[in-house]
Amino acid sequence: MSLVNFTNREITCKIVYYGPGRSGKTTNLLYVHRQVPADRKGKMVSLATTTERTLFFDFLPIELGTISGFITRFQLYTVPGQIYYNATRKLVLNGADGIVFVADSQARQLDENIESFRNLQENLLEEGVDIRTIPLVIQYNKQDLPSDLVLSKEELDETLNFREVPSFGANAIAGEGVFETLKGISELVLRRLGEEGPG
Amino acid sequence: MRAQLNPTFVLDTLVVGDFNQLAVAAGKAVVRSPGASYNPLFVYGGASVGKTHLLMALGNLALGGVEGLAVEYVTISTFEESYRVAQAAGELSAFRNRFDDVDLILFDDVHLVQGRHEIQTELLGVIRQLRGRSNQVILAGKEQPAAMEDVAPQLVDALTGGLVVDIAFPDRSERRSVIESKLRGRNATLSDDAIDVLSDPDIGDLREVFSQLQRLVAFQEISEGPIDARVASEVVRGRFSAPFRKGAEKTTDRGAGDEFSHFLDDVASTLTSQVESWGDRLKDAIQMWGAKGFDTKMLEESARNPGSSSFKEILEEYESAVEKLVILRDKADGLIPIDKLPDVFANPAKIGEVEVLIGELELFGSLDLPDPVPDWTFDSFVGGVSNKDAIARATSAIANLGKQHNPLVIRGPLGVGKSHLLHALANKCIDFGARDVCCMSTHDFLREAEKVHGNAREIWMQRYSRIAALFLDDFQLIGGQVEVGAVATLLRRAIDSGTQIVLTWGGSDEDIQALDTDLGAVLECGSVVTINPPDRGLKLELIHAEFARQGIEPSRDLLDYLADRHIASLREVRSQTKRVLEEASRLQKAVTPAFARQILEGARPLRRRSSLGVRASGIMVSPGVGIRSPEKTIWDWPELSDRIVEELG
Repeated sequence: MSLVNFTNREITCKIVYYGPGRSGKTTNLLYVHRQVPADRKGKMVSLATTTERTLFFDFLPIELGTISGFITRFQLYTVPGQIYYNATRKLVLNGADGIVFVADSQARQLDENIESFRNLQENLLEEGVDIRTIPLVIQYNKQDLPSDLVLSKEELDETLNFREVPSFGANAIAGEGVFETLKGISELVLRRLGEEGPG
Repeated sequence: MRAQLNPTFVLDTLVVGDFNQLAVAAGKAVVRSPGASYNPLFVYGGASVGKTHLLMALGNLALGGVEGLAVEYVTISTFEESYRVAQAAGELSAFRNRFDDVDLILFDDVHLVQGRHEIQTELLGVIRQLRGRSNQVILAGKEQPAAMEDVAPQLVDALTGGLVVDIAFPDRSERRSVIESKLRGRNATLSDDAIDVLSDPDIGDLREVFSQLQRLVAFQEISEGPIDARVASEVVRGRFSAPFRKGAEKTTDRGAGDEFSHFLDDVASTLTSQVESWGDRLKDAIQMWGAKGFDTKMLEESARNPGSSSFKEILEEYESAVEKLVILRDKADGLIPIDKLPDVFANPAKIGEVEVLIGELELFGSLDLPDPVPDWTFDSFVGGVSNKDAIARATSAIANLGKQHNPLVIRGPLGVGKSHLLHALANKCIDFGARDVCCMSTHDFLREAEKVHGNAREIWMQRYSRIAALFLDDFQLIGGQVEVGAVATLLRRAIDSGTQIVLTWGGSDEDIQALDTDLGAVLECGSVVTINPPDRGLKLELIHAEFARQGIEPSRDLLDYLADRHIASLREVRSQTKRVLEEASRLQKAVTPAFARQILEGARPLRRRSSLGVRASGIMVSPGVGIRSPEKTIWDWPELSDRIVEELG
């Protein structure tokens, strides 16, 4: 649940980018980071290996300013995609208000996508969260790759999106679909805030 | 109690149409000549049709017309609140007198008097008071007087004694005028299309229209421009939770620098509508629970300062408290009439207090009501000339329990049988099958009153409003007691609830008149009967009855002797007769006049009487002859020789 602090008039939403390794989660955050004016963003923390793979997690705080009398903050996180960093993924996933599942659109990565999605479901369950109840969107990244290498959004929806959550095609490196995805998850998180009220 | 007239509620801002034309015209007429026509004027109509606006506008019109005019606007809720405060403070006279200087009174929400009998009585008093001085009364309520339930016929008569006029629901064009007026008052605008949507009668009453109007205005403020009919319709039907924002649909071909600001706009729109929805949901809940009679201050406070709980949690907590309250109310219903429950039973924030009250209620409910002395029945009560009237009046009161001679005060000197009659009446009530009869001494009653405070005091009072009859012995003891005000309130409420009150009073009429004003007023509503000191016939009956109980037939002389003794109390007559009988039984002696005299006066009995009926002195003694000192009368002269012995001895 998003943290609404009425004493300080603050709303803080934690959004986690989840997905298999190399699907483009950090790329999403880097793009967002570039678009956010300097006075609105905190320092992006990224712990990466020498080969630029996320070792721990990325963290990007964004100040959205005062909306309806509330200082509103988004905190964007990514998890390490590699299978052996599951403990870290669970740690980052804890307390998430919304999840962006970044899938790799390449046909050869389909199994990894499915495995990662299953892993997401398991980790949420361990936290006592039903994947059907938490705000979730799916981004099919790398849609810019040659069509013979990638699956279409429809094909991927059929395989991964059996819950029919909002899904977005994206080319994160170029920034296409990045903000649409962020907007999609933000709307779900904020709508849930309206349904539940501050807590 | 005096509420401020809202200065913005004037006739100029009141939309007048077919729906309210008559009410407005009548209102103007009575304000032009207060007290001269249509007094009282009663205006009724559904929610938000402008009754309060009209009342206040008439008040403002009157104030503007005559300098120094005393105009008062009072809602029935504030009227009741003030009454309760005055009652608790024992200042009811001040409460009633305060209307003396009012020239025009405006009572709002009069439908709220339904089922509130005390408030009905007070309202009736105020109306009569003002009309009696030709001052004007204007009232407004949701229903016409004749359609209100559980309202005293006298009040209905008083309310309908002038002119009753309704305000109907406005039609589409009138609604439009009302909406436009409201917009002007708020300095806001809406497109014609949007106003048209709002004017649709399907939207509901005007309260709902105003609520939707507020939504549309707020929606328009954060939208690109005026909203059209389609959007207005969607907003009114709740399909748009986020307003349209400029560029909200532009998701492609954005300049890099714009992407964040567009995203920010979208988030701001969504968040704004969600934050507003928190308040809306609470407002809905406040309206719903308020309409069901529950106190919603807890929710209102949460709306202002939700703290760390979510609105869902706040509502769940409130609903859970309401559920508990309903259970507790059901529980209390068996112990106290549901319409008499203290206000805390409608306040979910005070569950703790209610639980304590239930404990007290159960305690009071489980306490046995003191019963009358079982032996003091009518069969053992001897009637005569001196108590004939009292018996007749008391019997009539018991036969029409709570409806006649209520309260009934049985007055008389000590020992004339007031207590016996009181207990006999209580026993009679029980024989008649009356539920819950309480018979106790005023001393015990006052001790009980001293023990109850706060909410328990209210419950203590209610306890006596739900019983069939309350009998209090030696009520003269109430004089000068600190609890006299509370007892007056208790008796009045009990009488209003139909409980028969019977009191014995061992003082004079002057003592009754010197009582506290409130208590005196309560006693004046009923009857006072007097039991006089016992006449000779009554004494004879009583003495005879005591002998009969022992299976002894007394001689005429013995009866005469005992009845002619100067005793003004039945209790003493009975006590002396019993004493003679007990001594005779103990000494195994026959009960003769001489023996009785020896026991009662210490004189030695002689062996036998020299004559019957005629005294040895030659004086013929008969009942009614005025021998001033029977104690000194020698009834049986001793033989001469005995006298010599006595004298020599």
